[in-house]
Amino acid sequence: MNGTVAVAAVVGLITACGLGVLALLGAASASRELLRMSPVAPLAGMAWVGIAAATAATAGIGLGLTGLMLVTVVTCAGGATRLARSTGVPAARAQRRSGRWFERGFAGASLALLVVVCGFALVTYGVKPLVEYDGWAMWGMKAKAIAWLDADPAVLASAAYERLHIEYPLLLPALHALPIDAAESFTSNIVVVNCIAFGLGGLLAIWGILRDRVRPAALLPFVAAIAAMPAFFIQLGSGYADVPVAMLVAAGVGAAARWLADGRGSWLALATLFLGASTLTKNEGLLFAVAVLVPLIAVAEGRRRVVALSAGVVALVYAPWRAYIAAYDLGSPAYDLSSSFDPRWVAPRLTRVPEAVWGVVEKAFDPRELGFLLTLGLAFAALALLLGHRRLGAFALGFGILSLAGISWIYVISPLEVSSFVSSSGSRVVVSAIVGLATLSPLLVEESARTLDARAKSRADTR
Amino acid sequence: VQRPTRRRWAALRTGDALVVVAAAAALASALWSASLGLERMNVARTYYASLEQAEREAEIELALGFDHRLWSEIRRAVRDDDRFVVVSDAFEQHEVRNYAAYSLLPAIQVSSVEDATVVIYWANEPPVGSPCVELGRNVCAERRDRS
Repeated sequence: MNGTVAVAAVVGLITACGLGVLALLGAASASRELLRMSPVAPLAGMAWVGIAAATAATAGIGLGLTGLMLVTVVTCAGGATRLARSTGVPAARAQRRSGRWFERGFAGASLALLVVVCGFALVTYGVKPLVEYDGWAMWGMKAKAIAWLDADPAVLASAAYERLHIEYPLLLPALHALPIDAAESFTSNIVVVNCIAFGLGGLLAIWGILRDRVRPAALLPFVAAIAAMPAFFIQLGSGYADVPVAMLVAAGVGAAARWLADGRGSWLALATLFLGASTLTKNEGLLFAVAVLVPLIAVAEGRRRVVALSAGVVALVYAPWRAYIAAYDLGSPAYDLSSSFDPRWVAPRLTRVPEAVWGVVEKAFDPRELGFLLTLGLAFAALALLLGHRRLGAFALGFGILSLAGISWIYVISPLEVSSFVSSSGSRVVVSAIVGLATLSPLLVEESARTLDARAKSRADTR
Repeated sequence: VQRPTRRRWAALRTGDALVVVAAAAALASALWSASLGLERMNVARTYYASLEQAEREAEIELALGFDHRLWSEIRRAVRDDDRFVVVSDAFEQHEVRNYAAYSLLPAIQVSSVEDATVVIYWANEPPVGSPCVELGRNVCAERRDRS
């Protein structure tokens, strides 16, 4: 089977599985609602199947196409049962109003730009092989090993492979292994196209999570700005895991914000799924999950226990990988977050803080890679704080600050030289923080606009 | 005194103004980014579209400065069920081992000669009397019987 066709077939199956996941997690209580949530299905399926495949890989089992079909059938059966038994009233749908001319203009222009950028990316990366070092050495190699050798630890946990960063988790290569298995042959373009599918699934998920709360004129320009930033498709086309983890973090942070705004439990369940998957996608995923959950627990007054439960589930999802690392004694040459708790290691490195922070800030604000999304995200989070939507604003600011501080901390505790490590990886690692804030921005704008309108209306009414 | 409809219109305008500012700023970011990103993607598309499938797969070797014909010989010499080791003290030894680890899968790289069914000598002399088959300049492969 042709590689691109294999990716399309596997993504189709994963999307079906994602619909089952949405029903299973209670994100939809009726089939029409499930249809409305369907844009979230591809990424939800990738997260769900990815967790299953990565966990199986730590046990030396390649999920394979048969396993994918089994997971899909079981998940869809569970989802269908929950849907049939559901007595819940479908969530009230925001009243759709036809936008005014300027709203239609912004939405139309953004949609047109999205079509151009995504179409161009599909054409470009439909022919691009893996070339960039980590793309083939880390992710392509692991994908092959999972597809052909059933995740044999003789490769994935062997000293002979330690220079290929085997300390990085297995979700993404376990997902790449599925179309390799379907194609029954390997061309490195399968990995590239699968990464593009991951990115497109992420964009759809951001739209699906926010679209019934945020008007298109506020939402689509931000989705277009994420898709258009050079870091997005160019990094996806390299086969690196930074944008895939960013999409999971963005969907997680978006779903958590919806939970804060709406209070519907299924949003938190979805956030838990995405954050759990992010911890198995890159080592930094754990840091971003913490950067979401800590401010969430801080602002979720009266609902902290359920956030703690969500954090527990994320830890449970991460646990098998942590056990695998311990069992095979996979060191972490670039950095080890657990060394943060060793004062003898940390104390002499504190002099590196200014250089690390400045390096990360410089990368995070780089308009040639990331547009102006960080500036906009911080501005709209501050505005939401000022205008009275304090929980959402504080959550967004907390996530932004904690995630950037966490990235800086990596460079502080690393045994590697700061400036060269920041310059080689900084522009990739910051993407999760930027895309996460950019996902929250349209919701912050919409909530602030509502607050402004409500205030103006009440002032007018009292006159 | 304003009429109710006029007041409501005035109330709507505050929130709308914020949406317009936010949408315009995000769209400006998107357009600026797209002008840079599309150009970079176009360079990649033009180059890779001009290559044949086999040439695309050889791009890593080109990037690493390796000889494609030599690696084709190495892939032919190593079987799927082999366990191989690269013996090399050359400057590029880590790149060779890393690329071999990726390129020769499903053959598995091992750490020691004792565990290998194939030993690849890269810019290193094989032991005297070794039945090492030359694959290219300074590179040979020795098949070992582990039984």
